[in-house]
Amino acid sequence: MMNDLHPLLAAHLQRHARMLYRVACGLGRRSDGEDVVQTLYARWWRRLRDEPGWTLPETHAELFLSVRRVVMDVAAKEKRDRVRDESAAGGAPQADSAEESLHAFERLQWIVGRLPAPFAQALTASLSAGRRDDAAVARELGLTVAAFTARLFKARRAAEELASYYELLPLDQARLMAELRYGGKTRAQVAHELGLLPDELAERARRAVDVLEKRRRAAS
Amino acid sequence: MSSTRFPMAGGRRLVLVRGGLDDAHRDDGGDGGADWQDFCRRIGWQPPGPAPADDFEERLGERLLVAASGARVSGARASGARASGADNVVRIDVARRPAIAPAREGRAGEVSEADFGHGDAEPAPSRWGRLGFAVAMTLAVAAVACFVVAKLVSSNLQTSAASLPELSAHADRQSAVAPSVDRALPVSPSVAPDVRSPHVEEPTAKPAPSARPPRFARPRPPGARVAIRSAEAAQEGRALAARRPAESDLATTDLVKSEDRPVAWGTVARDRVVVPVADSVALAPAPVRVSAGVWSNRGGATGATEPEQARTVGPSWSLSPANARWFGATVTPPLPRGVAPASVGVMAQLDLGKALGRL
Repeated sequence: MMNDLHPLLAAHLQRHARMLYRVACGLGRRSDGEDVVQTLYARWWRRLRDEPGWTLPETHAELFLSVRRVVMDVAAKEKRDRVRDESAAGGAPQADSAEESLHAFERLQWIVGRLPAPFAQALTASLSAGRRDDAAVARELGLTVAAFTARLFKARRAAEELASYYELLPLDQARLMAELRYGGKTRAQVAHELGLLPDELAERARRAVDVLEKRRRAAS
Repeated sequence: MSSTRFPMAGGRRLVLVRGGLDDAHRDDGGDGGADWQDFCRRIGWQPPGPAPADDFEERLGERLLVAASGARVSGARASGARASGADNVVRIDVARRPAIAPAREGRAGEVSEADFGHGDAEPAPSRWGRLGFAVAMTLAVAAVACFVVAKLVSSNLQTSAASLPELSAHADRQSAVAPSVDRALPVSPSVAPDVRSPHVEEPTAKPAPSARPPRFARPRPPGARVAIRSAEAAQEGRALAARRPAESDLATTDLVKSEDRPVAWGTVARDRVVVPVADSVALAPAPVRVSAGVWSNRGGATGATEPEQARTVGPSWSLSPANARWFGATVTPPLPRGVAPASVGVMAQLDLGKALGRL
């Protein structure tokens, strides 16, 4: 049966299918992880037919991004269906594990999307490969193990900080704090993009920090 | 640096001291430990589920092949339809739309029928287009029917003078004009004679055998009953006769009197109005009879037993409101006695109920 598949696809499936399944589970698709992987390989098969020169992704970071795209599509469809069902039923949103998985995936999306690119790459590669394969991930990223470990440590701190923004702040203040802290821009650039005066931006940032500290104290 | 010069130095030794990250890795089998798992939960990374089965890759490959073969089949169907230029090919994706598929359960053909017919998502202009087509076809059929009627009327005017004594036999041929109505709705055999009709049946007309009515009924003696072909039909006829008074079962009047007693259109579905049109200008006033089943110029079309004296002369046509959906117009040419039975007929039917229902 496997001989009927595209040879490159069959070899890739033998090498990476289990890892892709694990990534899909990590992104909250434990119930339909096989479907996600199947959808991903079906897309790759179609692309191999259409573009014979195209090569399948091999690194952990690329594979993580590929699975994340499929999960984003599936989650968006589920969200649309859920909104439609709720509007049709006129009831409150359901609080089940699927809903929690959807929220968890949205949180991960929000955090990974605001991390600096090197940090996001190291973190996603590490999540995909598992911590036992740090050496292989370091080789993929062209880093020494020590450099990868240091980058992963910084990425983890940044991700935890962003997670606290996401949890404790309103969404607009969380966006502002993430932009100021990890956006890689000066305050003047951020104020210009938001259409604010520098003083207004500083005032908003100060208020967000106050709310964050207050809630951290309350949480601890 | 030899041991001879520095006796305290001894042999070279390498001491490895594990760091914190290594300890965390070894405690959890390589997945980061509790601290790493807590971090994963905080950022939304879900803990991994159970490991997939041993044949995970094989099953995944099979599923991929099955999905690909299904896609190839549907793609081939679509490309074949496009190549053949067929416009009425059912699109699978359209037929599988949830707006139509749950609406009716059953065979796949019904789904495609819903797609072409009464689909909710159908745009209004196409429905109006179909209605216009139906109206145009109806008008065309009506025009053909009118043309045939006019031809028959003109031919009757020329032949009626020579065939007046013979025309009574033709009245019986009318029983074959609407045989479906005849079978479906037998009427009471009681018939009131049309005293104004100038055409009287010849007294020498042979009585028809009542045991097995022929396709073109022969003249029957006055008062003879039509043989009812089934017990069910006979029961229905008796019920109809018992439900209505005898005087209203078959009323005979002229056109002026018919205006005094108009037929209720809403309730006439089981009544028969007999309207002779041909020869009426030249030969006879037009009698209007109210009976069960059909509009016609002949009672014979319904299978009713009429006295020969009551039969009118002229070409036969009938409008049949016996069915709530189908309205039929039937025309057959009149022929004198001795001539071969009419074999030319025009029948036009319009499903008005269905046409109006599509609005």
